[in-house]
Amino acid sequence: LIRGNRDATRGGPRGRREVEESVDIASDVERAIVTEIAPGAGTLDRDTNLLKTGTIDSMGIVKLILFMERSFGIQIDDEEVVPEHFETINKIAAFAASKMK
Amino acid sequence: MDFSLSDEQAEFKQSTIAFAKQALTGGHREREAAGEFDRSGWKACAEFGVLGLPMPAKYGGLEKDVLTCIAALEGLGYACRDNGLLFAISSHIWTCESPILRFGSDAQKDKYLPGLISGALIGGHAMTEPDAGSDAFAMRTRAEKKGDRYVLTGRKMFISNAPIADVLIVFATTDATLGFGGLSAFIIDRGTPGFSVGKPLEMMGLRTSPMGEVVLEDCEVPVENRLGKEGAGAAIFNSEMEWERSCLFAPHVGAMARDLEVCVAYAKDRRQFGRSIGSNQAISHKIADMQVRLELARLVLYKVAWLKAQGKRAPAESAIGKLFISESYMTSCLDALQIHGAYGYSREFDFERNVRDAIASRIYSGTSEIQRNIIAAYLGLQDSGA
Repeated sequence: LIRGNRDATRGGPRGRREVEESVDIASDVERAIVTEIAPGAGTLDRDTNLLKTGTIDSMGIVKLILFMERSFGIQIDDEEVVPEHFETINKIAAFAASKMK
Repeated sequence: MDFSLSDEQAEFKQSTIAFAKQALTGGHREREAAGEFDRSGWKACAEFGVLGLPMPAKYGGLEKDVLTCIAALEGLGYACRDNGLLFAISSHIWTCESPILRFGSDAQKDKYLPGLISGALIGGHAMTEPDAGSDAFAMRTRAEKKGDRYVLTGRKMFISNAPIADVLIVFATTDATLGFGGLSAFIIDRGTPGFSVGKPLEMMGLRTSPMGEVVLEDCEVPVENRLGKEGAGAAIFNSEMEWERSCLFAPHVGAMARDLEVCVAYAKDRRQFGRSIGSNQAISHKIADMQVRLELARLVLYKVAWLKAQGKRAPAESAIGKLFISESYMTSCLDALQIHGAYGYSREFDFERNVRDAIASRIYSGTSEIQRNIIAAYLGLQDSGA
């Protein structure tokens, strides 16, 4: 799960690039969830509520945060670990993207 | 990596040892037999600054860095024989003060931290339930929002400091559909209607650290008593646990150092069959193993403290530290008892009590089995059990 810091690849015009980046982040998050954090979860809809379905449990959230911090070069404060940021893959990606700005 | 203490840190550790030797000696066996909390020791620790070691000076704390806190707590463990008092202090710092500092609003910090640091207030947290121990997030306690208040209903079990606490951080489910994401934390004062605490529970060890049941019956708390956002309970608990597993075991390392010295002295002094018992490898190897465990326990303690001092997350590392220190402490306590033979088994000395106290360290803050689950999960081997 440990990857390089994405900050180095950022920059340039906003808009389309941000959308592409968010999609890219969502792909990375989805891959991490289905391969490492919740193996066996199968294919996930990016708007599926990962908390209500139990896809991410209390252990999984810590692993997900570590993955995001290492992969996206961001620091997530403990007080930011609330359902509104982690309910779906799209929300996770949007949260990560907002932290990368 | 350099985990050695600076001159200033080493000096503070020594001053903590000197304080504990002067203010925290005597009476621990009697209090242990009676299951009595040492309020004068608590007050002395507060006056020295122990309760506010890592807390900001603006609230009355000493604002020490993590390594200095660890070193001071290790010093307390070395010099103070009342393990229950040290456990109560550690619970107070890491499960009440620390989360209020990290997650609390300015108003909550202003209201609670000065009293917690001065020792006027005793704190703790309430997570465990009769049917939710290791599976802590399966709790049944509910917090229903009604206007500008929450109504809490449920029972909490084995709550450290509960019988003496003035304030507890209580975890409850605010949205059962979200699993662990539906958990929230509330600061509840003793005396709040609907909040009650049972008698101290009779436990095998740590008998000077009162532990009890908490009952919440339509307990109404204002919204401003919620700690952090709604749904932040799991993050608060995980953060608490990581700090607790990183720091709460420092006194055990100090106790291991003291017991090692006691055993070395006894092995040299005690003569059987015409020679000191330390000249027998059966004894000297036990003591050598105690030294190995002490060195490695201190190393892992300082490594985790070093990680936390840098603001890094250390979920697996703190689990490794907690597991290794608690298991090593337990084994060394048993060895110390065995080396002292019948004297070790006698209640006239501290060895049997240390064993009973040490067993608790393998259970609280997540059992040894749960720590192994966490470590295994970070190796990609399993997924549950945090």
